Amino acid sequence: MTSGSRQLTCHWPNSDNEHGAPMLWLGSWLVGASGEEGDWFHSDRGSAISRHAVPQAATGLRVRRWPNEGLESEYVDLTPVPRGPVLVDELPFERPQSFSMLEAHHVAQPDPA
Amino acid sequence: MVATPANPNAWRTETPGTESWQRTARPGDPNKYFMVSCDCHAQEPADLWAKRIEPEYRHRIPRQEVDDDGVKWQVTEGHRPTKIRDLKFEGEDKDRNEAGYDIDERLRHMDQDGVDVELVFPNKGLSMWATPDPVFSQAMCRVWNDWAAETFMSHPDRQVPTAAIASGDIEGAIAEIDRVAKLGFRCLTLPNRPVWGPGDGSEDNYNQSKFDPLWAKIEEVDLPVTLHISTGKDPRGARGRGGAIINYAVHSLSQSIEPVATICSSGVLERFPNLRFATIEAGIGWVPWALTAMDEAYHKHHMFAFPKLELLPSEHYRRSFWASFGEDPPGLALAQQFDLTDNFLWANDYPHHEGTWPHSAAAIERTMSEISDEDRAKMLGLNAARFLNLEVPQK
Repeated sequence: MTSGSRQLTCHWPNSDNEHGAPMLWLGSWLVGASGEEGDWFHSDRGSAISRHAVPQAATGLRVRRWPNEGLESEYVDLTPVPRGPVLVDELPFERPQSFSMLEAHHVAQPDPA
Repeated sequence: MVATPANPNAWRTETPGTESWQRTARPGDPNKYFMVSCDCHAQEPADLWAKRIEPEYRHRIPRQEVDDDGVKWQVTEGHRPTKIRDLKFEGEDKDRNEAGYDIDERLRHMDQDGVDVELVFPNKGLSMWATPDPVFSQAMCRVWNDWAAETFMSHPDRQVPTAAIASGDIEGAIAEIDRVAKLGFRCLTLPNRPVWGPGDGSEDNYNQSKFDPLWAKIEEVDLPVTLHISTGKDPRGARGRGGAIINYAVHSLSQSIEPVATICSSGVLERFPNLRFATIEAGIGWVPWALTAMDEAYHKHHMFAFPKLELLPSEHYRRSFWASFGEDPPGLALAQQFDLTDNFLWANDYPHHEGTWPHSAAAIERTMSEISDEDRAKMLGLNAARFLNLEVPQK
């Protein structure tokens, strides 16, 4: 993806996962209107401050975390790309996200097992 | 009521002993059986697919979602969303849950359990086929294949990783089989059904001649094919009371009968007699019944049975199929009677809870004491050596 002149700063917090190890984080660009993802720009464990050139095609970003590495990631979508720094520690991982695949399924069923 | 013991894993170490055995599965036995575990699982990095898959697929990989009530769900294209439970593992269960990430640790765990060679399947990656889009599935398979080649090929005498193929994308599958053969893979793994779905007859399946180019390619590269449970349709077909048991027995394990019947009855093995298949983790108790049922249908429904075969479906099975098991007393009891002692493959399913690690010797002693030393040797390792073209070390 072609980079523009804008810069994005992300503050990755010093959180632990359920195994007692530093949390695994991954940030990627959203590039379409339906949650499509482009390249990833940050993948690491533990705390960091990272700076990235925002691609011209970026419509937002997706931040993933893995509290349990035996399960899939939790994620937050931010659209459009924020003007200020992203404080990952304050992102709403516990809330429904814009590009949910849950809507395609019937969720309102009893627990299967 | 069935009691819940204070130590729910205590039964794992129970054994009747090995008094009459000429050799054992115990790691310290200098005359130990040659043992190949034909079903072990990798522990892929959590972000493997998120980092490596082509960008156009990244937003479709399995993920967690939170609903309006704050409940977390695991969401995969081909599965009904599964509520995520807050499970905390303890003791040996915790050990199993955290085992298998590091290669040196895996090798130590194999030594500890008496395993000489492990056949390595995906773990998180078993969801790679859980999509009705086989081209997307192939993209996920390529990620696994690259990582598995990087990770599991440094000890070729101990570890045999399987190369994952999305067979519903026939053209892509043929290209990927060529690629993984060049990478040095020695075994393929295909889904139980080529296209993920409910199996209502509207989807492609292995009995169709459109798959002949795929079989021709597999014969050409001469790689055995494995078919792991839960890779053809959603194994969470039941909900509510008894769901965990219903889903395991009916919607997961029993799926494996379908590719066996599909391949043995449709002439695939007459057009491609050098193919070798193995069902994985489905057990063996059902095999004598399935062979009997297939032959019964061929005879009694002779007016409907097409194509006419040179060999009965059961004969094709004995020549071209294997089946892995962990602890399966019914299958072991019938193996000799149904001439299947050359077809069964032992596995410890490391590191899964339904497996036998790190107490495989005790499990083998509990379940294999009634069969001969020769048959134990075959099922514990020699059959696998034939299926996988492994060299058996001379003692």
